[in-house]
Amino acid sequence: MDQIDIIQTSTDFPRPPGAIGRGNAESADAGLPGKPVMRYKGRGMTIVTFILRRLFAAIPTLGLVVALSFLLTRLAPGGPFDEEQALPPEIRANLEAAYGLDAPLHVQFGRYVRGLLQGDFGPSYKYRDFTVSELIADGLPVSLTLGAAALLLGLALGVPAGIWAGIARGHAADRLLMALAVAGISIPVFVVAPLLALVFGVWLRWLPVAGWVPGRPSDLVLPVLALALPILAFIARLMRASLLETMRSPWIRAARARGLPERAVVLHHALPAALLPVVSYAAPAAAAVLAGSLVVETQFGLPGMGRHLVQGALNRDYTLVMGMVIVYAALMIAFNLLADLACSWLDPRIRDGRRT
Amino acid sequence: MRGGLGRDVRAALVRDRLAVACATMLALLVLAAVAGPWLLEFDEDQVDWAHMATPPFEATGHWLGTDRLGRDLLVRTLHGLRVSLAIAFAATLVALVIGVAFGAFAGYRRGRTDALMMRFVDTLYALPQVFFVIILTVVFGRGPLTLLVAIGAFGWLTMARIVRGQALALREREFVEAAIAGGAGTLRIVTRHVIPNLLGPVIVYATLTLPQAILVESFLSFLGIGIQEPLASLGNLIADGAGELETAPWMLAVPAACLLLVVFCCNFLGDSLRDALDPRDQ
Repeated sequence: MDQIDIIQTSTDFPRPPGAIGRGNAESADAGLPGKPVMRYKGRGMTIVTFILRRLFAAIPTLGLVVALSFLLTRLAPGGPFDEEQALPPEIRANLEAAYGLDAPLHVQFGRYVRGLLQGDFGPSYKYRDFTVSELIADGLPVSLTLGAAALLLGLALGVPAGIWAGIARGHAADRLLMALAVAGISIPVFVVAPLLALVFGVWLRWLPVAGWVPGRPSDLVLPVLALALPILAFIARLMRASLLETMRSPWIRAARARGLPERAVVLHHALPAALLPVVSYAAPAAAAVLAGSLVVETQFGLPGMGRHLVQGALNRDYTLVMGMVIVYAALMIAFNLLADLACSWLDPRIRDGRRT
Repeated sequence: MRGGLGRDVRAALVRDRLAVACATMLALLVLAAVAGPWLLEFDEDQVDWAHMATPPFEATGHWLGTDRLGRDLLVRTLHGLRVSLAIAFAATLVALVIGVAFGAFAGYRRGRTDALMMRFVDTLYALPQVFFVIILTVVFGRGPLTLLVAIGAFGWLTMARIVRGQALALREREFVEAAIAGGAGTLRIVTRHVIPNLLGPVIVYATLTLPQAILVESFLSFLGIGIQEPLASLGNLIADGAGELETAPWMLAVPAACLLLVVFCCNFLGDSLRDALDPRDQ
């Protein structure tokens, strides 16, 4: 069911009024002469407007994230300066004035948004020597490296595994791969990560159990593996299902009827179309990686954003948590956009400008 | 109609041995979580000074060993399972009630009300949920109640979408028309025709929400922002075990195995119920 949703959301678009033209040699319907195919503007124009539109559509979402996280943290019973011992009221008032917390809510919000637009996420309430921006700048490269490596690994192994299982449908290889994939999907990252540390770090002693020395790639192997496994498993399943679905399409029958070798049929005719759901999955995969990075960074002691976020949550450091959540939300939106772009590049119906 | 649903469920369970095994396993686990800690001889926070960090299956009276403080791991795991299950059941119930009410209302009213309500759901969907759950735990403090609210706050979205789609489709079905033609009142149509047909997908989705809720709870407890010591949950037991990898790997193995068992069983059961109850497949 999920998969159907993905396919539908990625290919079903409202038709632009009055934009009906003639077929184009590159479109998927090219074999059917005379069938009307949407043409909108020029190709480059479409992609640019498409990106602009998507960027524009992302602004309300991001705005909502900022507003909601701001409101929620201000709703909190007790302020950031509630310690075990109550502060004297004068000191408390001074502290609140210093951090601008004595102003009315809308003024505080205005200040915060103005700061955000200039890349200033405000001061951290607990790490008093750092601003939130500094902590983000500190953790972001680590988290991005980790996440990008995990996504790439998931794609690089998941796609071939899915194709293999699809071709070998019903055979031992297929069953084995799919059983592994079910296991990979079902085991959560916070179990996989310590298990990997136990096997490869403690028993086999191949890799460090935890730690981070800048520029030492062996520190990244286990975290990336732990993050990539569930994504890899999901991509393999998605790829297999989508390939089998595509292999039933009329153009595949046409390709076979022309006597093309099976290899060419699968790789050149089925694969591009079958990849669409996998590419659409890149956005939820990115969300999974971002959430998983909290666990992995905690388990393996990596100084990324996730660890700052968890520490911030433990310390009730509102500005830090808000800043991190906003950055994570922006990353997720960016990944959605990238996935959409990749889909439009893969899908000839979108590529040819059928999209409004 | 209701007899029909019961028959479908029974038929599915008979057909699918694995689903029966999963249902039995789940029932046993729930029973163990509820009754186990009373029947076993140790309390969950009782320290056995003579047997600290002993491995499982040694003749110490602790079947599955003890942690580094000498607390019985089996008892703690059962307690953790109890807490995790309680939160997950409650959160699923919250999701169920809000989701069914919201979705059924939107689907029933159709038109502008429906569009507006679903727009709201779409907006919440677009938020990075895990991170908002974390914000909620920061705001309301850590503890079981916060977790319940935070998980329930996002859990109902998918349920609302499913129920709304079903309600929209059901309104147009011939048997509803037939019932109207037969002179049935709104109440009779809703209770005898709409709700029984909604029930299948709702049950299926609820059994699939349950493991999701357990996973979110364990995820947060693993990070230390969920259930706090001395209260045990599967998540903080796993986190404990992950910290003692080198000296006491069973501290990770026992709660992790328990979690996987529950999640696997729920997912298998949900899948096979979906095969049995999904009206589109029949």
